[in-house]
Amino acid sequence: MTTSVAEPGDVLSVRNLRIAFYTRGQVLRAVDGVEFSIRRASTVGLVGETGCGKSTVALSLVRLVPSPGRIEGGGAILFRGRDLLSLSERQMTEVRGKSIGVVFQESANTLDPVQKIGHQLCEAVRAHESISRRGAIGRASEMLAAVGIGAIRQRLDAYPHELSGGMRQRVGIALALICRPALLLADEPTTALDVTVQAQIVELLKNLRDDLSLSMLLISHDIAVISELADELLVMYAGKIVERGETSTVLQYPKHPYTQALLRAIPTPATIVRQEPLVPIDGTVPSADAWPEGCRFAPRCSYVHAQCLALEPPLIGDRDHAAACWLLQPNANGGASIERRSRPRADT
Amino acid sequence: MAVRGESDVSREHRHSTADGSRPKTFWSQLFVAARLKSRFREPGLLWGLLLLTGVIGFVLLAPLLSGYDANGINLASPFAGASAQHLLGTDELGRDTLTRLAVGGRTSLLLSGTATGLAAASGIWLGLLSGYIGGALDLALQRLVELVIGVPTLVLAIAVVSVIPDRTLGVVLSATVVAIPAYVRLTRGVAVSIVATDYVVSARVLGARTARLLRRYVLPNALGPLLVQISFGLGQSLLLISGLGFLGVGISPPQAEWGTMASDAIQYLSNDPLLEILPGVAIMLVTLSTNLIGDGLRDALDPRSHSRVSR
Amino acid sequence: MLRFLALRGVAFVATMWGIITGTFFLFRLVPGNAAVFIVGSDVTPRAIAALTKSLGLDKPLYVQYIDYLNNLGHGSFGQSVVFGSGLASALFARYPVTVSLALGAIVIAIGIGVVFGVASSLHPNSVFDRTLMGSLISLGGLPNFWFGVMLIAVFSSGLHLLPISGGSGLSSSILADVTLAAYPSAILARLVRSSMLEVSTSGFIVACHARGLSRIRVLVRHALRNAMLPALTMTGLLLGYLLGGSIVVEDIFTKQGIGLLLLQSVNAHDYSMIEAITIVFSGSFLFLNLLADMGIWFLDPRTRTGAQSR
Repeated sequence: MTTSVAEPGDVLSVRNLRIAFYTRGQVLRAVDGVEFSIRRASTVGLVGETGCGKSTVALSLVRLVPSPGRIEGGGAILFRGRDLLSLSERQMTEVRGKSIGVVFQESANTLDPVQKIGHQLCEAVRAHESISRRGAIGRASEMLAAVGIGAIRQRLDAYPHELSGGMRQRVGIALALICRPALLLADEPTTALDVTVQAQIVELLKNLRDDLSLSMLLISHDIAVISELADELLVMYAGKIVERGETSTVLQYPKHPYTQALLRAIPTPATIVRQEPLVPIDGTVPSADAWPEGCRFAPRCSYVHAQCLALEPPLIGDRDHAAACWLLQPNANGGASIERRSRPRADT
Repeated sequence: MAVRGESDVSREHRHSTADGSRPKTFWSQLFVAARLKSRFREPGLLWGLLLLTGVIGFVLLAPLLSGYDANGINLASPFAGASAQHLLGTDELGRDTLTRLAVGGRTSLLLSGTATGLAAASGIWLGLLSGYIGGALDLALQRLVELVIGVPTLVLAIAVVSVIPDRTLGVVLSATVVAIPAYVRLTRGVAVSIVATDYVVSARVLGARTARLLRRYVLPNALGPLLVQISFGLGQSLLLISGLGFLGVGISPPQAEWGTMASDAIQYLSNDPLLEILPGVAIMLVTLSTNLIGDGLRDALDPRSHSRVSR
Repeated sequence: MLRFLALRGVAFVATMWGIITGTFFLFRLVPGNAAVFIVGSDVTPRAIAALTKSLGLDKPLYVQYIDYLNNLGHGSFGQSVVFGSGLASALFARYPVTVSLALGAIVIAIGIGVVFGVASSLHPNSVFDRTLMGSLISLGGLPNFWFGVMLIAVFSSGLHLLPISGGSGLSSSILADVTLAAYPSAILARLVRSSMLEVSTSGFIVACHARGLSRIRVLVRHALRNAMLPALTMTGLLLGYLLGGSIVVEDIFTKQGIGLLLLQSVNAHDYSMIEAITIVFSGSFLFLNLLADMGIWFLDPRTRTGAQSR
């Protein structure tokens, strides 16, 4: 049983991350004890349904969780050994952009509509480096080229609404990386884009990651994108990580019933070819103000046992692949049930 | 089964529009709003109505209860302080302030109400016809509205008052003229958007009469915003009319009116500040109530506002 | 830019022509003889006839109209009963007072609006916010003439702090400007507040923070900059109120501007002057509106390409 696979030299190590929203007398525990680590130059994918808390996790890493949300005490976000939660706001401002960059889902959420692209890029770099205006423009041009934007002169002078969605997203990536951060947080970077553009952006991210030795946390509900970019995969449900492991392993041999159900419920090229029916997951996600006792997926799980309803399972497995399910416990039910769980699946 | 007076047109098309939904009627909207307990979310609306009713009640009843004549001069006791006989004292000519305030209120409110009513009545129909018929009529009316709006409100009002011999008529007319554009634009906008729907187009093709069409299909959709505009408009007319009175281009003396009262009382500030304070407070209370009502109605009728957590 | 100006310029001229024509007919179609209107009816018919002739009221209407337009082209508004041929100079001598009042009020209104609007938006639903917004709603219905008198009563008569009327000094104008600015301040404060709130929750502000920009910079250079756009539009709309309101303020504080002149002209039945002042007020309003629109054109690039503004 392991709860974290932290190693020294990790770029990011998140421990016991808990985020709660305090509104109207209710407490919504959106993120409830999430732990993971990201090694240098590797990409971790965080996948889950809308509303499972994944975007909140990303925002919390740069301490931009919107009120009434709060990061609860008792956890730690270690970035290169420093606990970000212990920093002052001033210090945190230095970290943002310079050491950790963020790419958002929609460019409309990234760019100031009344300022030119070039101006915003320069602003971003000059906020962290003392560099002349000329130098900043040079860097901005470099970045635009690096993200595959042509006609740089014109683009620098353009306003956001004059660019297409795909181009705006590239600019967003340029903004996130212009100060050469060590870690990139990408929150649904392709979701708002056309399919063809999505592929381009995925390619772009791949190349940038390799060129800059970037560590990346990729958040998406699009499994295809995750499988392209992520080395390690985290599956999130109801505020918790329910499965963790090397990407292809998890996708081929999902251990957690939720992951299995998720993969059955979405179309993949393989299943389309085989004309397998999509199987939606019964029931709905429980409400965040009243998580059920025991395993949070139990109410919807086809393999539910009494133990599942009573006690919450920790992540069970080894460092390469683990899932939070009682049925994985070696001694439970004679171990025979484990076989039933790991159904081989042709990967996408 | 045919309902008397209803053509096939309206029966058939009662239940569909281009996108399949019924055009909202004002009553259905209000019903929905009420069902969502909007009354409790819009305390302003309730307070506004209460306040306005209170003021109207005051201006109607106070003179009857006090028994004084608003113009009854009593030079023996000017500037009498508040007493059991004169609850709010008397003015420079010994007239009972309370009574005068109430009677003045009648004048102010009556004039404002009339102006608002006239402006709404004419503006609504002008706008509906203009938007519905379109063409040259529409263009001409739009340009005309632009002209009216192009002159600052008070300036236009004064100009109109200056050319009309009878002051009372002049005040009402000017307040009406400056208020009309808002209604024209409102209903025109609704008319233009509804006219394009297949719903109405087919009704026209089947021969429905213009007035009927406008009344049945266009007007109900505009009713909500119209009520909001009427609420605000009432307050604005009051401010304008009392402003004209204050500036000396309003109702002629000795008829009491809040604006003229406020003007007259300036010189007697040291004698009795109440004479100056009360008319202004009265005006403020009425405009406060109409604003609350307007805001409340607007929020209650706006489907989006129900999901807002805080304003 | 030029095309924008050209279009708006044409619209300006067209509207002004319409207003000039409108006021012309408004004042000429007065029931009854205008001369009688001026001097009253218990004057000898000969005097009336003489006055009619001298004011050019005996010519057919369309001729009068052409004459009028002609005169306007030469910068003359015709003859005034009070000022004779010195109508235009009397008017424009007083014009600067009115303009400075209106502009002073705009500055104060924007200042107050921005300060209180931003302050409120930083602490939404706090005691400060609620009290402020609540009082602004109540004060929204304040009659400006009454407010002016109250200010005088409190600050001049009561506290003897500021002079009431006359004078061209700054202090005597302050009360006048504050009175005039009261209503626009309230409107702008509420608007800035709601714009700031809307912008602050807008994604790009979070993104700006995520880039490590300082809080002040994000607030001023990004949030406020965007939030001011609706406020600027609203200012354009409020200009009509400001110009009209200067009439009230000039009356109360005895400022010799064209607003006070208008009132005096009404009492004197000086129709040419009333007509002239109406035209000047309208022209000023439309022109200032044009300036405001130009400002928005500059500040919001989305308006330039006709793109959808949020």
